[in-house]
Amino acid sequence: MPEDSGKKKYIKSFLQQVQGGEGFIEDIWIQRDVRLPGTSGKGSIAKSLSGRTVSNITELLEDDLKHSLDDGYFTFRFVAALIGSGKTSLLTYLNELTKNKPNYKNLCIAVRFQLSDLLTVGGKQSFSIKLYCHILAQTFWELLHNKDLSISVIKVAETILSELLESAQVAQLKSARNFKIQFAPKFNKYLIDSGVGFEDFFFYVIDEIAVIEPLFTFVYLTDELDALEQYPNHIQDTRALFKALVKRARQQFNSKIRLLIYLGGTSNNVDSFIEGDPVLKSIVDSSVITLISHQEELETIRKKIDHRIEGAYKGYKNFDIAWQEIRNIRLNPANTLREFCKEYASKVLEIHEKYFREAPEQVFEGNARQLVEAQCKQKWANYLNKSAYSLSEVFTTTVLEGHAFDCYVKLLHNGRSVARAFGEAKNYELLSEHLQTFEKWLGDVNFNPSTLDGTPSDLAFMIAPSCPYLLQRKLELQNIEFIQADKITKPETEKVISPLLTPAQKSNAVNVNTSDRTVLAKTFKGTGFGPQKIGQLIKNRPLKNLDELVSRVKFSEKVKYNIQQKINNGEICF
Amino acid sequence: MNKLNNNQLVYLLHALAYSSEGTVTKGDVKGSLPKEIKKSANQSCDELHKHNLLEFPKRGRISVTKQGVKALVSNLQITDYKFESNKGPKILNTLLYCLQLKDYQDNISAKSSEDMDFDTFVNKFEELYFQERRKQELRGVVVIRSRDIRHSFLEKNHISKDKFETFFSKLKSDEKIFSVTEKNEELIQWVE
Repeated sequence: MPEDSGKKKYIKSFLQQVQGGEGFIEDIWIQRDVRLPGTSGKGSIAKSLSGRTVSNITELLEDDLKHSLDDGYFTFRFVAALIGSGKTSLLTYLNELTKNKPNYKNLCIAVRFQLSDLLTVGGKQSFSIKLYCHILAQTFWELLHNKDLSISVIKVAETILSELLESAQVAQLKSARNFKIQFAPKFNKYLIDSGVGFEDFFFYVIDEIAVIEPLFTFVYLTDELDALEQYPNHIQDTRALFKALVKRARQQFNSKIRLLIYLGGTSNNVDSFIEGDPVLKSIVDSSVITLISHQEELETIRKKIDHRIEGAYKGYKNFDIAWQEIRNIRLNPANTLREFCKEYASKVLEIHEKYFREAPEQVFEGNARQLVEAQCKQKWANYLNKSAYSLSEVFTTTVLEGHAFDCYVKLLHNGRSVARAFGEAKNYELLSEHLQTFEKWLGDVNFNPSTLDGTPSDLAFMIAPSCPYLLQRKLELQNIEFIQADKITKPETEKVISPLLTPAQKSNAVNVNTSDRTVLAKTFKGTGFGPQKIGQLIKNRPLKNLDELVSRVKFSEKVKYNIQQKINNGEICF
Repeated sequence: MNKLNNNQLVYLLHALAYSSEGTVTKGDVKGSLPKEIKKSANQSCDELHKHNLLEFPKRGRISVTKQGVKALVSNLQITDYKFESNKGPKILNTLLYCLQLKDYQDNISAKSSEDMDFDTFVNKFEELYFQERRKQELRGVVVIRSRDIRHSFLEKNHISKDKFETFFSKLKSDEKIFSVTEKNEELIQWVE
């Protein structure tokens, strides 16, 4: 069998990721309500820095990005929450946003690190030196190696380094292939030896880059303040460093500096960090984001999980009983988000393994073919209105380079294929892993979404009931378009057991009209339909159904029966 | 506290109401009692005497002791007894007298201390929690420490430490709050 989207256990791997409960789980990112400090109601607490109204965390993060990247202001934030309440998720999401917005990714560097990383760095320097070195090393690593940045920015970074370091040292740093081993230790050594004042240097870099690229923004997302809990001196160093940064950004630059800093930690640690210095306390008062979970959030995540199970398996014979068991799982309202994820996903996973272990996900096609066809007509309209161009028929499951694409269409120029469109359909909210797989498949078939010479370019679509915001950004960056299609909640169960050929079966099956000889050989294995017959089949294509195949390529009732079984099992279609 | 049954309570009330200069005859008390209480008048009198709530200063006369007044006051606060006929000024004035006694006030607070039930505790705790959270939200970071809220609750309410701990554990097991430990400090969050 070819690798098939339906057979791949996306749901299982999704559940396993949620069960892990650690860090950022993109597929269960939800809109968490935000309210102003001191107001009644549920949800997390924060105030926008821009003065604009924000109603959830996603909006808040986008507003902060806008505040710095679009409006050019300084952003400083503490993120505080009880352990397991989503701090790291928030920081990662913000990081992802900087990378996945087309107008942001070329105009900023985002550095994200855990303070715990620094505890294992050798050297006798004070913690504040190590911390500054780390911040600057990460900054220059990005400036020199981030492929999304313009050449002019990279050149400025090189020039700045050349002002301090020997040319051989700069060359070494440029040629480094990894951060931790080849870059950071050398960078730190060279920088310390240069005798430069780190804070001055930091602001100098921001200034110099701004000369050539006025919209360029520096983003620092620092996590795990709690890691320093056992080291009061480290905490003091860190506090002094950030305090000086905040003071300078506010006083010298009047907050008009493209710098965004987030510092995350558990509530008690953030509290004592701020309380430990009255000056810091007075300058950061309204900058705290406090994450507070509530039951509706747990319910929303639950729905994200449940709805995917429903979309993937509804219509299978054990679905109703499995669904009942899933609905009966009792939530503990006193769980943190992490505890909830672990507990709930592990229970659902058990049920999944009990009832769906052998089952492929729900075969889904819906009206994907029509949707893809309509999009192709629109996107290729400039060609299709010329008589030499035409659209091929829309194929269902088509195996190319060993991957079974749900939809496949060709743009034909005088009958010859000049561009292709690929479609992948799911009956539940898209998962990040769907994109990863689809991206790989597209790479394997040399997907070419942009042509410079005016020739038509390839198209790609993902079709599903919904697609999370961040994932949609990622799709767009890969030139894949999301098409919304209503979820099919009442699949006709007889489709699975009926011996009649149905469209629903087709998308999961190998299409004898479009698959190549190798795939067909594998598919027909065990039916008695040998290589010679496959050759005849290929010659006689297209074929409407099994009866036509029997009449064109003669074979026994036994073989016909075997093939019919494969058709019934959804392995073969026409 | 001496817990009195209805017969004893009404007997004691009447004894106090019909006393003049501190004493009253047994017959006068019995005569004033409602029918259903009258039957057990002698028995009630003996029982009250046994617990030193009544004394017999002279043969045939009774007097309500200080302890008896206290018992009357505290039992009036919890009794489910209902009068079924009109009562004269003596009874009414005695009830007023009991209400005005300092013992009555003391009893009210002692009662709320001793008898704070879990529901009251939950309401008071919730109120305190959200007051504290609101204050912290405006100040910066929200950190509700068990230590602080325990201290604050015990300061504001009449509840013993033991009872607080029992109820506090019950808040957790009833999933009304959850706790995590950070920096060796227990922090709590109200489940919303």
